[in-house]
Amino acid sequence: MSRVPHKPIAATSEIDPLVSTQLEAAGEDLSGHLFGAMGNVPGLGRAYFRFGAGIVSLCGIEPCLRELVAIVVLEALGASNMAARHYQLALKLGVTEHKLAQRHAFRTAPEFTETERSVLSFAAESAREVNVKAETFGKLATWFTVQEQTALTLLVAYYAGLACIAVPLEAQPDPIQEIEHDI
Amino acid sequence: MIPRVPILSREDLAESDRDIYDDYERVRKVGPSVIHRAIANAPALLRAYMPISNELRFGTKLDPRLRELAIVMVGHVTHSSYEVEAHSRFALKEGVRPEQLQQLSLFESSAVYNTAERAVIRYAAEATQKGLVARPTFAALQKEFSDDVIVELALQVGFYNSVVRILGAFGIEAERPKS
Repeated sequence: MSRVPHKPIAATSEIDPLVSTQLEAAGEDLSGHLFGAMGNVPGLGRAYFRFGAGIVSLCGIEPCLRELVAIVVLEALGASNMAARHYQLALKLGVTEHKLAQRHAFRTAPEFTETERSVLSFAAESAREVNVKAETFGKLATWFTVQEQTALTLLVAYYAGLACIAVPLEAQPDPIQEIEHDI
Repeated sequence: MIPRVPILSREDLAESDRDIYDDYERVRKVGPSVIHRAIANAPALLRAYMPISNELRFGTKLDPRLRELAIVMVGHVTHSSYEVEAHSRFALKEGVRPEQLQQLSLFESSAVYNTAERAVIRYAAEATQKGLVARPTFAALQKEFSDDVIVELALQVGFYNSVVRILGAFGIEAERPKS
């Protein structure tokens, strides 16, 4: 349970159905602990929903890659239960279990393309170190436009921020038993 | 260091996106800052970003002095020179004393902070450094603040952990004083 009262504003009609749908598609559990915690400040909570929905739905990053980014960032910041939700979503989107199992070895595992390696290197470094080396960011330019580099940056930043809210508030989703061993 | 993405002026934007900067000036009474002009490379995402940024700046109950102390601490912990410099200026405007900014790294023992300030700074530091926040740290917040204000603080700290990562990716640093 979260460290603050559970007030799920998402369960009411207050939230735009389009926003709910977008967030659910991205693996966010709207009735879960995190958004239940945000319900203590409904106006701000709604603004945060829209921020997340906007970033996830408008970033233009291919959904399988987007979910790999979410998993890498959330795991790096200790949000393992949130990462587990994105693991499930990645499976639904068609990422194989084998590839997901290799995610910690993305730099060398043959399942990952050079594009994916550049993105996941950036995501991991940004999550852990905050200040990213020029070389790491520069590699994105090989594969992505400036607009896409900006979108990747916002996507990583969004999930890093979300982890920094959920972990301290102990407002992560409950564990998913069947994949717990892997996450 | 030169930013790694273009820093866009209003004229660089498509005509259909210039309203983002106009709204920014209307709400904040100043032109967009460097980070926002960098995010403008993906205009749709800047549209998604600005409402929560404005809400956290203008729409919370948390004492602005405490908000700015928390944000500056996030910047300190993550070595984000731009974040520290920009929000130190805001902090001073909101009434934070210069010595409170100078002694942030000594916040546990320095006499320049009261109990509430120390609780907020400790939360910001732990949430940013470790993610997990110790039970006594959270209990200290609960002694001082209501649940809604604690959640506001958590969202501020979380959001500014996003902000420092944007700055850190784009290579945006504090401007060096001209000699």
